[in-house]
Formats: sequence, C-alpha cells, structure tokens
Amino acid sequence: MKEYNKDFHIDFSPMTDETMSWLDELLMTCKRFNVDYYNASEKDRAFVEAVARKNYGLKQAHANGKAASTVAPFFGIHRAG
Amino acid sequence: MIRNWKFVTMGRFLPAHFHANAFILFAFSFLKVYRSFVIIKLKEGEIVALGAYRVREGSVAVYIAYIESQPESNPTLTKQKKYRGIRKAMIAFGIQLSIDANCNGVVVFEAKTDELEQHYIRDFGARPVASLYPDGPKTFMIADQVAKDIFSSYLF
Repeated sequence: MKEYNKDFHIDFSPMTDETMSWLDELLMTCKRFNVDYYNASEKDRAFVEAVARKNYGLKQAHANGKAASTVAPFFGIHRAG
Repeated sequence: MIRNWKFVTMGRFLPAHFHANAFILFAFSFLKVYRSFVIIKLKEGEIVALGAYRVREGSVAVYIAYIESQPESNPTLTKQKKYRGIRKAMIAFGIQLSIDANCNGVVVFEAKTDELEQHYIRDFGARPVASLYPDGPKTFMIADQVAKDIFSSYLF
C-alpha cells in the first residue's frame, strides 16, 4: 500500500485497464456460476476467484504468445499430457 | 480531445447541508457512456472533488477509476470537516451510472490508503474484492442493499 500523499488528497486509487480487465473476468465468472460475489460465502469466492485467475492467465498467455502450460494450475491440479 | 459530451443532472447528489445554490456540479460523459467525469466546484471557483468513471462494454459493474477530493472532506485527515458527504455523492453518481448501464448499481473501486479502506467498509458497507496483485491497492465493491441505501438517501 502506497503512503498517503497529502498534496494530492486522492481518495480512490487510479484504476488501470489491466485491473478492470481482471475484474471483468472475475465478475463474468461469477455470472457464469451464478455466484453473487457481494454476498458470497468464502468458499464460493475462493472458487470463482480461482476460475477467474486461471481464465485470465490463459487469455494473457494467449495474447502474449505463451503456452497455456505457463499458467498456474487451477487449485494445483495439473493436466496429464 | 473531448467530443460529444453532455451535461447530466447531478442536483440530487448535493449533500443536504450545502446550500444548493452555493455549488455548481458538472457531470459529463461521452455519448456512449464509456467514460464519465464529475467535478464538484464552488461558485467561488474552489474545486471540491473530481472523479472519473468507466463503463466497459460487456461489464457487469461500473468502475470508479479515480476520485480526488479536498483534504478538508477526508475524515481520516481532519476531525473538523469543512465538507461532508462529498465521497458519498461521488459514489452515488457511480451507482446511478451503473443502473443506467444495466449493471444493477454495482460499483467497484480501489482504496488509496488503509485508513480509507476502513472508512469505506465501516461507513459505506463496501466489501473487498480479490485483487489481481496481492501487494497492489485493495479493491472494493458496493452492491445490492447498500447501493440502494446510498442512492435512496438522495431521493427525497
């Protein structure tokens, strides 16, 4: 967390496009699995966050020309082959 | 260069303790409402707050990309606040945009400091959202009943 700069009085941190893309992925994953993120249990949140991280990682890898295997496995589950 | 922008009514978000005619509120957005900006300015020329909002195509929330306000309105910096309700008004405008954009009043933002985080949780009912990077700014969401309560407080 950055130290507060009293000259600028910024209340909300400037949000990057990357962060918004990540949040889009997370919230769309919630929609897909019918999870109300705001009211979700810790377990549901952990699940949709893990799915979203995997999907976001795969999209980023594809966009950067990297192999899908470079993305961290979903809950540590490695695919065979 | 800003083109095709329009002013929208912000009158309802004037905090009750301000004299309505003491403030000029500007809210403008691009025609397709991809970005919206709000400036709250006193007639004497003093800018009290400004904010930027993003509505992304296909998204299910409005992102409050940036809000900056007078230090005299920050409860974590001063005990005797000169301006009250500024931040709530800026969030309420985000909720209005969110409903307009078919996002059901869901707004997401990143808090600047740990103190402000606690303020948003305690006073606005914000709940944390998983951040992309654990060391980055903490992300928060306002939705459902809390969003309704914030917006409704300006209705009558």
